[in-house]
Amino acid sequence: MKTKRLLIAIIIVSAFSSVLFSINAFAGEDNFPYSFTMKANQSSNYSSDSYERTTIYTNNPWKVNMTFNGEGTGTIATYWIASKIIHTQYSDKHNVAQGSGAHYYFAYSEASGEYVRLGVQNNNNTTNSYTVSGYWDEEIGRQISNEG
Amino acid sequence: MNKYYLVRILSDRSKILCFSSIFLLTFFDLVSRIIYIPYGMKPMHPAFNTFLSLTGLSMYPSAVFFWFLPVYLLYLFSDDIFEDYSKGYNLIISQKVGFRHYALSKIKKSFFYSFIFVIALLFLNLLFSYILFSGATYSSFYELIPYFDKRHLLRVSLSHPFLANICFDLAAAFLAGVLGLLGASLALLIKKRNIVYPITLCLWFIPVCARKSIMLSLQPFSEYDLDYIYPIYLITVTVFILLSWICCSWELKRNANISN
Repeated sequence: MKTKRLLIAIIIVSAFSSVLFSINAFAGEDNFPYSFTMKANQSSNYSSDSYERTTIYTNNPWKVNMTFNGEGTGTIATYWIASKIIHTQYSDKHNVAQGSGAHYYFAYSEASGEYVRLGVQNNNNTTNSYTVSGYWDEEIGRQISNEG
Repeated sequence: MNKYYLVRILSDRSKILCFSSIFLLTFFDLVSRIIYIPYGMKPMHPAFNTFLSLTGLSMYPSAVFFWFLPVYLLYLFSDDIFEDYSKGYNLIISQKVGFRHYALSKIKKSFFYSFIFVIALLFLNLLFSYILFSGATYSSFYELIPYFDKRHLLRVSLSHPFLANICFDLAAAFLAGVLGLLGASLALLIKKRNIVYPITLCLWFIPVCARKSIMLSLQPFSEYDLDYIYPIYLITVTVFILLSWICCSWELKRNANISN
């Protein structure tokens, strides 16, 4: 009887473990910190870190959460993801307001299996540079129906 | 007189080339926005694809146009002042109609043509945007609606994007007219290209490079409200008009003996 109970317990634990490991095998939602310069005159700049989009789904979105913008509270910056080396645009460009929380946006299919960086540019054409920082993720590990 | 100036501008091939280059710059900025559509990029509503909205693929068309705007306007609409002085036509015309009439006609012409040139360029850009992107309804600016008060300029502009473009186009054209006015006044006073061009460019770069840049008041759909952008615009226009008036008055006083 004791042996039977032990066997059942082992089977249950194994089943849970396999499910747990299979979840961990896919990318989850991360918060990779970023902090770099948003250049003057709407020049583009990119994060130093790059991560691989392992998903094949364009609606497994990338994420950005701008917590600080040196331009001021509530100001806007334009974000997108781009290829690691030659900075090919891999998503639409999106306007994000500082302090507005996390935003999730679709990627292009060309981004699948590629290393991507976070790209930023000022939405304004001024001669000033500002530091922007926050968190981002190249894919959040689940599909969504609407961007935003 | 207007027809004479128009013929003088249009008979110069280098000026036609300059007109065409600037037009192609704005057209290239518009057309480049369709490059990523085959890759899945959502085309935006035409009102958000205009030259002033700064949503293009590259920063260079806008930078090249606005940074060197005084140079284009001086070359296209005030270069005849330098030609007149170098060939002595100013004396001939002044003797016939009076220096006052000559100077004021040059200044009015520079303002008028600079205004018309920029408004035509921007309205054509708006028209082509509505042709190229007709039917598109998406805009990345709509995502910003929850973060701005409903009376904020951005929210009002997003409710009436076509009208917002018209207003900002008119503002940009008026500023260009005032810039043309300033260039013509400096040209009348100083009479030397190699001094007038750099001075006009430097005067233009002061409001452009300021912390509260004049460029913010030429951009629809930005995060800055009306109370932030209209003082910059007002001060810049007032200072430029004042400088033009000072230069013109000085030159008129100097030539009082041949004035009407």
